[in-house]
Amino acid sequence: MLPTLLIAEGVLALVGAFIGLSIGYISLTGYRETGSPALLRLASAFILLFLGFICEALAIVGYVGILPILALATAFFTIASNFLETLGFFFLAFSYILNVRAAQKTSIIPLILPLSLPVVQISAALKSISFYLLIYASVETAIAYAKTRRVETLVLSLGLIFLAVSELLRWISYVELSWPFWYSTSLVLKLIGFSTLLAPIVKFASLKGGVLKNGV
Amino acid sequence: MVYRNSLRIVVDILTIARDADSEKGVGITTLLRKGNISYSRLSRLLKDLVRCGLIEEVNAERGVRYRISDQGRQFLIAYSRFEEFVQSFGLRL
Repeated sequence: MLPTLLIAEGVLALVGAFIGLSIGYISLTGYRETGSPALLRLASAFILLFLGFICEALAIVGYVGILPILALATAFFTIASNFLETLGFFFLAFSYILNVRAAQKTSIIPLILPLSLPVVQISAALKSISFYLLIYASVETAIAYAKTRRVETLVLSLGLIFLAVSELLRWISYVELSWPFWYSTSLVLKLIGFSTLLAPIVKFASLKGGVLKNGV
Repeated sequence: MVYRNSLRIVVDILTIARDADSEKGVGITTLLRKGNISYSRLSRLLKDLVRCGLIEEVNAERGVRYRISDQGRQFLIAYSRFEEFVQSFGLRL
């Protein structure tokens, strides 16, 4: 049961890597063309997430034993993936912090990372931080939706919430006896979360033709 | 009042130049008025935009006028595309 679920998680990591690379590439192209710092932050976030998901997939490949040579570096890939993903989510959350400041709001939702979490491992600590960063980014996206009423913003906000809940369920699966249920649910939510990240890519692809055809 | 970053100001100036008469261009007074920007800042900005090739200077009878270049138009198209993309994330360019 576990190897099957792990392989499924590895495949999901590759899907996440592909989406991260796509968004990162679009953002980087946008930064080169417009010089916007917001796009640079977005590109940094998603390229780090891409690298993180690749490391996660490699860690799983090593752990399951598909490539025995990678088994030696499983611990390294696991920590590297958690570190890169946390850094990626930090850049994403950081974009929202700056966005809130630029809008000159009088109050911002504080980005509080509770230190009282029973964190005993580096990996668990990084995952905890990722969880809070994801929650923060999803709340900020939801606030942005309330202002702009853009459907894709709402979809993205829900997607980030799904990814955060997926992380939470993953933790639960470590301690619960009925772990296959929690683990499987976590993977399904992760898949839904990743799918919603396609919304901005689809929107961009649909605009590309339209804007160039019609001009500004 | 939403804070305008320097990129937004550049886009506003280019948009004013684009919407003006494509042959004659636009005068500095119109840019000042519609762009809602100080004279000193606009002067610096126009120098930079001319240097980057986004705006062209046109010598007219009553002084220098400005018109958007093809590169400037391309920049506005790119900006519009990526603005939509970033707004999907609930962010601003």
